[in-house]
Amino acid sequence: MNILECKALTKRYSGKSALEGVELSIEPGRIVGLLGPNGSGKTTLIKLANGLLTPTSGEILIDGKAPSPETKAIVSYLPDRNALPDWMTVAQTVDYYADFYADFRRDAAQEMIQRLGLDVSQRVKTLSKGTREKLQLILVMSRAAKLYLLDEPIGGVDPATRDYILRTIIGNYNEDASVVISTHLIADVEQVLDEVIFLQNGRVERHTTVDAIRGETGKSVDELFREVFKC
Amino acid sequence: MLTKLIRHEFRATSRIMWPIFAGMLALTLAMRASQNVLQNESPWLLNLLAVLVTIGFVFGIMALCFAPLVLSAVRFRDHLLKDEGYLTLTLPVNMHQLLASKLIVSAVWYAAAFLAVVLLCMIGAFDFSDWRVVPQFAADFLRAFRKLDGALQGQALLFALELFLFCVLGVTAVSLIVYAAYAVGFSFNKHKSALTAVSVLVFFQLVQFAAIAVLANLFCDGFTAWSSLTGVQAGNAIFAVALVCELIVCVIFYLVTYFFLTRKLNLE
Amino acid sequence: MEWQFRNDSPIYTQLTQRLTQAIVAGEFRPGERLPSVRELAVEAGVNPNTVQRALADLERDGLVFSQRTAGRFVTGDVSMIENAKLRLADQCVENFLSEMAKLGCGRDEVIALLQGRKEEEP
Repeated sequence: MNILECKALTKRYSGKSALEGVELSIEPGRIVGLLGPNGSGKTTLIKLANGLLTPTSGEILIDGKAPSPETKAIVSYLPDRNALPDWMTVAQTVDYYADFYADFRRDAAQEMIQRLGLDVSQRVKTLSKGTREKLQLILVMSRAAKLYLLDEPIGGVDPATRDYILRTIIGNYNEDASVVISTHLIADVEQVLDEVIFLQNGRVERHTTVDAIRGETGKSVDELFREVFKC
Repeated sequence: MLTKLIRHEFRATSRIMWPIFAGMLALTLAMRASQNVLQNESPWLLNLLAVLVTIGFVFGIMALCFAPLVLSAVRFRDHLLKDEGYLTLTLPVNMHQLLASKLIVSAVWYAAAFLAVVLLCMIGAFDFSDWRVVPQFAADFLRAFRKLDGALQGQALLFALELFLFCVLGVTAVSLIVYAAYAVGFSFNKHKSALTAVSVLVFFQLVQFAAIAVLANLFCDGFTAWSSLTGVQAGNAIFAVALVCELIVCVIFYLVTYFFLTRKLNLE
Repeated sequence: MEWQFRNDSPIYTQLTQRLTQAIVAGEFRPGERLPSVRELAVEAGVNPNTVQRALADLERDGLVFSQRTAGRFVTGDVSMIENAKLRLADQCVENFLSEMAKLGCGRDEVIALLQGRKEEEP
């Protein structure tokens, strides 16, 4: 069964369309790039999958079910902002995840936190922006989820951090799970992706594999993307 | 999951409430100490300070009464509707559990604040030179209750229970009105805080109108029916009507909150 | 190990090439156990499925064999590795010659140039 499926999915905000008739299916075991310029509907799609928005029409299914507490238990979500309560200590954030998510691997989280050299008694408030992002990613990737939805995990980070983030994702995701990475920085993620979805003005412009693009066009996904979205 | 949510809610709120309680206790003790200053001939500066501390105590007690409401409102906004909402609203829990945990915990803090106000006033007023007044006070209290019970034909406990329920439903209703206002205000794209403030005013105004309408109907049109009741019966009837009204307010604003948080959610 | 990928061909083919080079050059010795798919993926910064595909290619070529529980190993058959080396070398020569042809250099000229290089060598 597809882990994520959209059927004629449409979302409009006060008349303005953010997603229009999106048909999409993602199989288990794939790393998928959700690519598109700003405002193409990437975040809207991810929010719909998390139940943070409700569709105007059509449906979105996670493992065959509409977003609910049941699907939230198998989806690990990295928002595009810091959502960790800033009064908590690093150790408390780990406890929080361990408390609510049955699939949380505490050992994995603790090991990554240690490797990062984080003091667990430090408060989230006192961490630098970059460290906060890394901590949030560690918590998200420490879950043995069935679907990881990562919204702009590498937006605005330096190359070393980008490498750290991508390696953390590859090294920790559950092998039977799928990972959806939304970004507009394609060159940076291209080599970790199986598939790419190009979103344009709320519609799926293309959904194919990276190997197919490179094999058939002799171009990188990044080059093709620049052609498709030429201004 | 509900117990986990409640435990977490307590952890998040107690870090605000305990320091407030501790601060108020310190202020109360300071006030008692300053009373000794006032009784003696002291320099004007110390007198002024003593007066200020006493005024501070009065304001502090008033603030303590409002602290649970303010805390519950701010906590609702920050935990569900700001950035933290991205984490809270993707936990594997449903909205009913989230709302229930918040309502339960804020009701507990109302009760705690009430007890704290009573205790602090007692600490502020008691004459500690003679500890025998404590059992005496307890005995007086019990005697007064028995007298009341006699006057109410043995229904004082029932009235106490009704009063308790009235308070619990009352604070829940107030919390829910504020929650609903936030849920509505934050469903807009812009001016979220301003629209929340407007919603609070409109909601409280509507509830007030409804209450006046109910009272007018009860006591003007149905006055003859009331006059046939005994005092105790009338008391029970008034409580019953009040409780039902509170319950209706709770249900309406719960549904508004639930609808806007699930169907009209619009995180920044 | 260096991991750099070009844009013009699928990553798994480049990965297959890179791993073959590593085996031929003895970075992985005959009979040695290879890192797991996940380890290789993290090290190269690529998708585990891509690594899987590249390793399957190597298995098909006989350079690598897998034991169900123990993982993947470099073949112990040195002649197989020698063959792979020749294949790669042949490819290099092919590319080299075609580049030289673009410069208008005939075979004799190329050989003469190489002879010159040979004498330079210490």
